[in-house]
Amino acid sequence: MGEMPVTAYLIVSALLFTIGTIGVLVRRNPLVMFMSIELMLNAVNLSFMAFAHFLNSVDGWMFVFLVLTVAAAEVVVGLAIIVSIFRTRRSIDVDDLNSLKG
Amino acid sequence: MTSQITIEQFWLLSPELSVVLLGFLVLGLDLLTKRRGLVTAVAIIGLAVPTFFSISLATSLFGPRPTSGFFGMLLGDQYSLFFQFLFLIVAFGVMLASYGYAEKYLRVTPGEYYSVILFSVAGMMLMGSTGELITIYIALELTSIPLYILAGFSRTDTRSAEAAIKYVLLGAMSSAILLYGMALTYGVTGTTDLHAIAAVITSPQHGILSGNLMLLAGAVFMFVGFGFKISAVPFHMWAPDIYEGAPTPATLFFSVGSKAAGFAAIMRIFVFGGLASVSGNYLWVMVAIIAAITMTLGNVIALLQTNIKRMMAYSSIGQAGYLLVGLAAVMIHNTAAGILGLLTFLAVYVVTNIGAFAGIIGLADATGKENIRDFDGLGRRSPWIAFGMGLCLLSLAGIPPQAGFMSKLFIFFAAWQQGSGLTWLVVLGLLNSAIAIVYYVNVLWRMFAVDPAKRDRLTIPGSVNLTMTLSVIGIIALTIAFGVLLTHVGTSANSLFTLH
Repeated sequence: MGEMPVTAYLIVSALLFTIGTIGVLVRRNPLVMFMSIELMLNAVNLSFMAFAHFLNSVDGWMFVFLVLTVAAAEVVVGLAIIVSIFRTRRSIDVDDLNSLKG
Repeated sequence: MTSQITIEQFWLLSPELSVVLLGFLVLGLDLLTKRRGLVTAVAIIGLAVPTFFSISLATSLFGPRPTSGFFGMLLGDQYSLFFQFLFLIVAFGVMLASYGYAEKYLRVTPGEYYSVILFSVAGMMLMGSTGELITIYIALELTSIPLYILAGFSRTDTRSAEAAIKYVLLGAMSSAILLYGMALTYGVTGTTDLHAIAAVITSPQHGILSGNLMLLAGAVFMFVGFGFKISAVPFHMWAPDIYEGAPTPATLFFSVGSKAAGFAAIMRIFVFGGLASVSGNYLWVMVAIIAAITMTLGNVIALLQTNIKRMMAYSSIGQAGYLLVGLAAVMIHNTAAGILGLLTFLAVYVVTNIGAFAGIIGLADATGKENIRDFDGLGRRSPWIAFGMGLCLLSLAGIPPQAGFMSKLFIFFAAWQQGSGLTWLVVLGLLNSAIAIVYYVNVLWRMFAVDPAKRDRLTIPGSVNLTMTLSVIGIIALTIAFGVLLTHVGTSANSLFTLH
C-alpha cells in the first residue's frame, strides 16, 4: 500500500480543529465544550504526528505525549469545577451562568 | 550546547526548582500544623531561597553562569533573570497581600492556597527562561492550571465558580489554538528549538519561508493563543468576568502574573525566535491594529464600570494595549528600543498594580464591598491605604513625574522613533492616556473629596498595610532610580538579540 501524502493528514487535522472550535463556540454544555476542546487538541496531535513522521524527527512525538498528559490534567481541574458548580446550582448550562455581566 | 546534564544546569534551574519545592513544603506543612501564620510565614520567607539562587546566577557566585542547559531548553541570559526577579516580586506581593483576606473569606487551609500560587509562579518563571516550544507549552500550562483553581477558590461563592468555569474553558481553548500554531511552526521549520527556528527563518537559503503561508498561520495562531493570556481585544472577554468573580487576591495575581508571563513568552517566541520577521516582516501591522483596538476599548469601557475590580480589568486591558504598542515597535524593525520600554513598563506595572490591589483588598477585607462608590471618603476612613492607592492610581494613569509616566513615555518614544508607520498609534496612545486619567481620578476624587456614608475608621489587616507600604516605597524608588532600572533592563533587552 502506498503511503498517504502528509497534506492529507494536515487537511483532516485542520477539519477536526475547525469542528472542535465551532463546537466550543456553539455548544452550551460545559461537558460537550470540553469534548470539543479535546477534539481540537487531538487535531493538533494529528498534525504533530504527521509532521514528525514526514520530518523524521522525534520532537513531534514528544510533543504529543506531553499534550496528552497536560490535557488530562486540564480536564481534571475542569471537571472538578463543574462538579462544584453543580453542587451549588443543580445546573451546568453555561447560559445559566450569568451572574457576571458587563 | 552540551549534550550532558551537569550540576551547572541544575544551578540554572534552581530558582524554579526551589519555588516548586517550596510549594510542596507549604502543602505538606498544612498537614502538620494548624497555625495559619506559620504556614504563611514559611511560604513568604521561603521565597528567600529562590531569590538567593537567582542572585547567585545574576552575580555568577558559583563560577561563570551557564548560557543554556538541558539541551537548550533552559536559557541563562539576562532576560530570564529579569523575569525571575519580576515573578518573585509578584509571588511575594500576592502572598503578603492575601494573608488577611485568605483567612477571612476562603474556607480552605492556607497551605493549599499558597502552594497553588507558588506552582503557578514557577511556571511563569519558566516561561521567561525557556528557549523551546515544548517547554514553553508546559510552562504555560503550569502557570494556567493553578490559575483556574485560584479563580474558583471560594467554593461557596457562585460567582467564583462561574469565573472558574469560564476561565478554564477559554483558557483550554486558547492553549489549543496556541498548540496548533506551534504544530504548524514545527512542521515548517522542522524543529522546536527557538534558536534553530530563528536560524531557519533568517538564513538566506530558506528565503522561500518568508512568504510561507503555513508559517504565517503558525505565527498568527501562536499570537492569538497568547492574546488570550494577555487579554488583548478581541480575546479579552474572559478578563472582566474573571476579575470580578475571582477572590480579590487571585485577581491581583491574574492581572500582574498572567500578563507579564504572556509577554515574556511572546517576546521570546517573536523576537528571540525570529517569528516577527515571517511573511516579509508585516506581522507588526496586525500587532499595531490589535494594540489600537485593545487600548481604546479597554480605556473607554473602563469609564462605564461601577465595580472596582471590573474597572481594573478594563484598565489592565488598556495597559495591555500600551504594551502591544511597544511590541509593534519592536517588531517593525527588530530593534531593542521597544523591548526596553516593554520590560520597564512591566516592572513598574507589577509594583503599581500590587499597590492598587492592596487598596482594593484592604477595603474588601474591612467592609466586604468592592464597588467604586464604596471608596467614598476612604481618605478619612483609612488615610494610609487611600494615600498609597491614590499614588498607585496616579502612576497607572501616567501622571508625571512618576515611574508609570516615564515607562509609558519610553514605549511611546520607541514607537515614535520607528518612523511614520507607528505615528498614528502613538497619537492614539496619548489620547487613550488622557481618557484613562478620567476614571483613575474619579476614584481619587471619591476617596478624598466625597464625604463617606459612615464616618468610621476601617481596620485594615497589617499584611495589607505592609504590602501597601512596600509598594509605595517601590514606586518612589523606581521613580528616583529610574536610570538604574533602565541600565539593568537594557542588558536584558539586548540579550534577546545576542544569539542572532
